[in-house]
Amino acid sequence: MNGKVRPVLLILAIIGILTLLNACSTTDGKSASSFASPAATDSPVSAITSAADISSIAEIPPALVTREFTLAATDVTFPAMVPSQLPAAPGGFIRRWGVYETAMVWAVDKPELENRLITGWEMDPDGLGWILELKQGVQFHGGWGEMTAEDFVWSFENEIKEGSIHSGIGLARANEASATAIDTYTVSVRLTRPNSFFFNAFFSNGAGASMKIFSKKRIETLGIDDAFLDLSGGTGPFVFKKWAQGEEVILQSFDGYHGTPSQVTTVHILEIKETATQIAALKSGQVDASLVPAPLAKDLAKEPHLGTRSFGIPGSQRLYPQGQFCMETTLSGESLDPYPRPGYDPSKPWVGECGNPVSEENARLVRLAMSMAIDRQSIVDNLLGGFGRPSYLPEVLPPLLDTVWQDKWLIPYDVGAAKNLLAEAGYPDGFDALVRITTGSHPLEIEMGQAVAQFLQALGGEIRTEVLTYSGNRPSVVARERSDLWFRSSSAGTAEPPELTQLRRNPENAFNPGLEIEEPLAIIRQMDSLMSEDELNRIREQLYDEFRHNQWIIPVVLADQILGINTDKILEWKMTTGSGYLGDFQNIKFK
Amino acid sequence: MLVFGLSRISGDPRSLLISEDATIDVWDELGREMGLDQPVYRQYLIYVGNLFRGDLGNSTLQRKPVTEILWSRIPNTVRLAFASFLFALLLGIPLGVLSAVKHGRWWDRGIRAFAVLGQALPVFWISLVLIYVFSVGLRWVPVSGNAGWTSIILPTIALGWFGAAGQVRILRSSMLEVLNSEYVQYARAKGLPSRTVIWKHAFRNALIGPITFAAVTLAGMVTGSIVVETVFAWPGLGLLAIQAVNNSDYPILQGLILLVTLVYIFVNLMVDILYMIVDPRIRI
Repeated sequence: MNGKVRPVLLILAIIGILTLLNACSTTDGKSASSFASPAATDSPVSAITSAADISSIAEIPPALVTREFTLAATDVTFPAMVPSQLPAAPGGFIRRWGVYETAMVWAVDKPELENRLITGWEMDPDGLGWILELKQGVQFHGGWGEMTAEDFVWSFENEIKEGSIHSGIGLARANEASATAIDTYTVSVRLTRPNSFFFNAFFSNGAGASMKIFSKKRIETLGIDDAFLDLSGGTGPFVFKKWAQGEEVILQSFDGYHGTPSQVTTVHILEIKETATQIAALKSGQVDASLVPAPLAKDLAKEPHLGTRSFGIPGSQRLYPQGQFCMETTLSGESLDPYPRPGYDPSKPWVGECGNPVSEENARLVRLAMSMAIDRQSIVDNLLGGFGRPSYLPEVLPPLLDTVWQDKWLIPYDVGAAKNLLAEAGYPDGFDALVRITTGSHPLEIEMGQAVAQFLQALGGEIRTEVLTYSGNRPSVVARERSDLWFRSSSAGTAEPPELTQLRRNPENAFNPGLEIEEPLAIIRQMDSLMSEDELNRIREQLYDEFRHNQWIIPVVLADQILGINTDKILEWKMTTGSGYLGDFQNIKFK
Repeated sequence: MLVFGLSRISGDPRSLLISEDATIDVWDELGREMGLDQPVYRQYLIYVGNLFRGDLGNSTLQRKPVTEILWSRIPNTVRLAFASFLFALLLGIPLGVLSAVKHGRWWDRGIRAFAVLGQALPVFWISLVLIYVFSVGLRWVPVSGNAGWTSIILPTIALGWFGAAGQVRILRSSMLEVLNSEYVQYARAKGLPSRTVIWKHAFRNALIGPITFAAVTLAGMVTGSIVVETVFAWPGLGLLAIQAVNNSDYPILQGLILLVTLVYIFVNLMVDILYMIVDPRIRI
């Protein structure tokens, strides 16, 4: 054989082997989850089909021009398609992706709630409940029939039943919430105590507890175990077509949708864990959009066909001066167990001795000094690439409101003044401290936490840092064992005020940022019974004044979530607030 | 015990399933459902008991049997591992032999440089360079995923690169030793063609070291492709491992570690058998 021919044959042989290996594989279906449809089969059990059969039963619009959209996502956790078993994260994205819907949604361009699955609502005269009028003609995906009040009530009760892991269970149970069907399309929801947060938390898309309405018939027909894996039954503009766990999710536009049909016919969500690969996929055109880490955003925007922009509600980064446990009972008068809390340690400079005004004032000065020692703008500029802003409030306000609020509660960056405060509090040489940094919510949380530690170091003393996972840290937080400083992030998009939400349910509930002080809780409790927005804002302002003065929690920065997008293809993409996940695909307009 | 213990290091899966403001009752109830309320030693005994019955349990997140989930990923990993293994052999063997035969010449120096670089450069970096050159720059192949035969090319090269470089070094070294031996010099003195001397007399006798290395490489490719699968979003066992760690999915982690152990045992057994075939003097 000619020597020049041999290498060519070798290359052909390699290609042949690779092709053969590829042909032997099964690229889709084996790991995909299944769909059920009453139209596809009479038997609930046999209704569970393999992914290979999905295309035959998913509702695909017949004559639409295919407009595909591809998104890179880091982590796509399989959802449990039963309300009481749906974890918080997938609960967020099945709503965000437009498969499941809430009663109302926050408008895209104004701070108002708009109807989605309802046509109207009114508050009961006693302020303890609401009447919701459901939209008629809303069809569940998979042929499970029309949504009625019965589905609403069943979904609500299932979400808050004993053993449910739904995010809203604490809020619902604390207020003994209940739902009743008045007629086919009318529902009454009642509480035993007033709660001004409940409506937004359950009926809008702006909170982790957002209530998705599931088909009762579907779960009754399939049974809990099969319904857990079955992906039909939503009401949104998109229906699940394929779910290959850890690989790809495909959404198809739902031609029986009750609202405006989407211009996007197919959405591919590719799970790509590595950020650099996501960016490469965006640059190469393999995906149309992806989240972008702040340090890369400016460079990416220089690419001719790509653009970047902040979207949604930013993530909140803050420092918890833990160990402030000064309540013997809850606001309702129930005894705390154990008391005193194991983490109560008045020897820590930021923890006042309960009931000792001098000690409490000194601790307040220390917390204020710590807050003043943090150069928030520097973190925004140098770590977040400008995609963020300093934070001074204990909660994240929707972008449309926060300009009104920010300046009044500003904490100036002033190390000299901070040192003076420390000297006044009895710590002229600073103090030693440990800053715990937990991971899992923001790619730069370690860097930001270390920056905060560096700023505190400037006050004197030795500031050490310790990095651990959120889940690793959680048990000690739940047990109220900590009295050190904790730097923590919340992922972007939580429209509920993270601190206030937690505090207002504590100390009855599990999680606590190291703070059990009566004053803020009492103010928050006042907010529950308010009927007018003006009053609510007035009390809220009072609460912020208190937080500004006491620095029980030290807000650091709000880190924007940054979207990288193919501007050659996408003309417009408006996203509502309420979740850190990319979604609202029905709002995408192609060029 | 090691498998069981290691999987527990990844954290508590409950923190991913429920929101942070859920009550302690909800936390405990979920723990009871998942068997996490039992003392660890009892969880271990239950695990071992189920293992003897061939039951690896269900994924905490997906609620599917672990065996089903593993089986769904094995074909992808095996495909990538064998493609990479072939790549490593097809590149490593000729270069290793050539380097030994052309000892001291520029061929040898070039190949040795390749071998050193191949083993020194991190696979993560090589993967990204490949992506940015061939996917972003030239747009010849997709960046990631498993859509079509072109998807496997870059992960194959990235995963096989280290193996090829190692094979070159091992084979070169053992070939040099054999090429200097008396029986090879005798074969040359007999006037046998160079090709016959190299491939028939020298190469076969130089294979013991490379076979061991190849076997370990193959086992490593099957079980240790975590980085490559993660960078290329290749849906195999390595990516599954990362996902299981992130989700604290104990049953999947336990199943994976067990599978890795079995693969290594199997491959070592195969190596011992191959020794006998290559060198009849060796008997187990």
